[in-house]
Amino acid sequence: MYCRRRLETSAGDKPSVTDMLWELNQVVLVGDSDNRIDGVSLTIAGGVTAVMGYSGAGKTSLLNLLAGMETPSSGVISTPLEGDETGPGKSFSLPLYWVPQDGGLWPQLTVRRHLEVVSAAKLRDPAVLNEESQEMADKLLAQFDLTHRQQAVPARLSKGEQSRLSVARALAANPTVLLMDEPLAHVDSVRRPKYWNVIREHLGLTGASLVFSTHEPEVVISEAGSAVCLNEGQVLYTGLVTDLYDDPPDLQTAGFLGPANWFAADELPTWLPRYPIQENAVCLRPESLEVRADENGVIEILSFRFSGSYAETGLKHLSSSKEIKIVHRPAGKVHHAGQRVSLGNLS
Amino acid sequence: MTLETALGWSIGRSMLVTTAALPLSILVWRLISASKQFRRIHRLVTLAALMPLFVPDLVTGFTYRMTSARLIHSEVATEVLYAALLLFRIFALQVAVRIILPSSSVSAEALYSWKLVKDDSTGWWLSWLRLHVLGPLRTPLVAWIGGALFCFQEFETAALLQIDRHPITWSVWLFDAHAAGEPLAHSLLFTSEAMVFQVVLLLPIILLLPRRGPQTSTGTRLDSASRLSPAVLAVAVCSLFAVLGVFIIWPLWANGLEALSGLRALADQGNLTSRFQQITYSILAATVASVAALQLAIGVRALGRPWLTMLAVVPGLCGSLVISLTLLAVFQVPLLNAVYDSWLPMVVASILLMLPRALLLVVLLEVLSPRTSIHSAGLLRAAGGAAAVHGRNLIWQLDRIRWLIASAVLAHWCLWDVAVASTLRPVRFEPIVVRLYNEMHYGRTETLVAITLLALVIPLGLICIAAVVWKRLPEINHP
Repeated sequence: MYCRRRLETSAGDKPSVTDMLWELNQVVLVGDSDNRIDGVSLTIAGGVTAVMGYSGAGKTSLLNLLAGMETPSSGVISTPLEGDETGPGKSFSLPLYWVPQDGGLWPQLTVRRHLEVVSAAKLRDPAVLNEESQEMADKLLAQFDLTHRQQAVPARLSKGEQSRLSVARALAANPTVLLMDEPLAHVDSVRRPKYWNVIREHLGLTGASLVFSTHEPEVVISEAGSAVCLNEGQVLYTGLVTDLYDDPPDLQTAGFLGPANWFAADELPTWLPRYPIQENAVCLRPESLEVRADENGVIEILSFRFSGSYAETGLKHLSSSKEIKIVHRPAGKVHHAGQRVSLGNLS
Repeated sequence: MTLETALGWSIGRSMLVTTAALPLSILVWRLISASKQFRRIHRLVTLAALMPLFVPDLVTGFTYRMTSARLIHSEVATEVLYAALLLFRIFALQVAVRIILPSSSVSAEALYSWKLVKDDSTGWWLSWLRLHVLGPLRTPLVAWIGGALFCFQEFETAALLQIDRHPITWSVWLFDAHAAGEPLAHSLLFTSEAMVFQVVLLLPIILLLPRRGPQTSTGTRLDSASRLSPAVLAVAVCSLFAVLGVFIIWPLWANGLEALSGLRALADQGNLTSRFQQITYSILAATVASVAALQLAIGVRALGRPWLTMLAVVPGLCGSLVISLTLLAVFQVPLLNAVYDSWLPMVVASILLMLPRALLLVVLLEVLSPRTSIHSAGLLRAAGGAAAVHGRNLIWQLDRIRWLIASAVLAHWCLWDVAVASTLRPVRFEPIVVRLYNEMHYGRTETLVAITLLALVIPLGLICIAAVVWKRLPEINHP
């Protein structure tokens, strides 16, 4: 397989706390009818790791196992995460903290109290809160736009506010590793990047690691260094996000990071005659492919649909009568059916 | 009087009383929902509404026995008194059903979506009906059926109020017939007649209960409480005051002074230790049964098999009299004869009786204490300093104290069940509730009131001790 374009991310270069956070060996988690996790062997290293998969793929089950909320039906999960680097006087307060999918909030505590309780690790007396804890609570409340709701209990919060509080609480806990199951899922898309900035800033300052699940390719690309792709309780892919983006093993796996074009080696000369000859199939992301108007072109547009960040076009190769549907960088002007074009590789 | 006549009275009464209690319970539930923003008031209102469920039937019957005696000239008045006492208890049960049952999986949006594809076919109307039964009608239906069953099975209050055959109930009729020497086979035959009505009620309730996990929809709750009008507020508040008056204030007023002088008399007679022992043994048996019922309920819930759930709840829903007489026959077969005169039959019967209630409590705890919240608190224990203390406190508040209260509530119900204790007790042990039941029939003495008070207070003291010990346990495990 050939990787034409390397994705530039900063997240992959983050310093890791430990080389290995978890090692799973033939882990099985039995469900009602099928195995929720089905013989998974996997190593999760420090840094930022995204867990991806379609609904029901086993993301929550995997995170629950890592968090220790559920135990595997068989197999072994080993982790060096212990309290060595944590506690009063140490840089981290906890080995691990999490953001479960439902928030896991405490119904009897106010928003502010949630943050104070978890940030009290460095205090000796649970009845006394120091200035540092108060300041941290104030800062997180402001960063997650919860200041005006600080005296409310979880039942009085909207879903979005509950999501934000759960993330803020995890940051206040200051753990070595953060586990987040679809964090900020209920938060409006306008403000979501702002809260991810807070998470990223926290990771940068503390050097903590993050393992999170998500359905959003953009978040994975911008935040994660490594990725684990699951399907029906099994691991489809594990490795760097950059590799998954540029050099995915197959079209299905490529789809986890958004739309992609998959050209078999023998089809490549038909559609991209100037492209170097390949032995294996080639994956080209939309931004690497351009559809240019070309009166002398041998390709005709069958259909065209503009989707904002990319366009989806149906093409027909006139001499071979082969048809294909591609996703590509939006054209400067809208194409139309019947138009003659040629394909260009931008990478 | 024939059993059929008694059954007719019981069925008619249960239908009327549970129907009358339903609107009242809806009003009070709306008050409970509306008070959510004021946490202390919310807790007080909820506690007041549920209070009748925690006052033993025997105590209610004992308190109002003299009132019933004064009404001897009017059968109607006796019946009205009994129906009124049942009404308050059933309304509390219906409020509990509303609190415990998770919101329906059919949301307002789901109903509207079905309305949009209306086509006047029979299939459409059948589905429309089904959606309503599983949606907006589910909670009232379960509450109505639960109330009818409870009312139909009630025994202790009726037995103590009954002065001149009224109030007429099949349970007292059958219990008296059995106590008077009716052969067990005949008693079981009579029981089967009562079972027909109960099975008719039980089938829909089993179909309507959620099968696995809180099947909540993400849409709008159909039973969302709207703003309270002053009239609704007034009726709900008056109902709550009436409940408190009938089940707490008046019994305390009527029995309080006698109880204190009775305690002195018991001490003077040197009977305090023996009564204390009798109560403690009864509590022990009730605790074993309730903890076992709770553990079984957790297991049944975890397995999530509908047939197993049905098997677990049906005996208990048939009532204590049916269970007692059936187990009496079962433990007389040669294979089980060796344990006939032991604690086992009584404990097994109590477990079966408590299983449906234990399952409801497990569902309630699942809703009140999500596992993710408990695990979030558990993770804090790994931290040093004050966060670990907070973590332990949170686990105590979210998990342990709630299980302790659930066990205590079940044990309380076990302890005060007369039919099981009197039918299946071992010969050499007289549970405290049997003694109280027998003595309460022969009048009212201050020592009797004092023993009743002890039977109510000692469990409370034991719960407090258990709470203190259990709260300290993690600190012993994790110094």
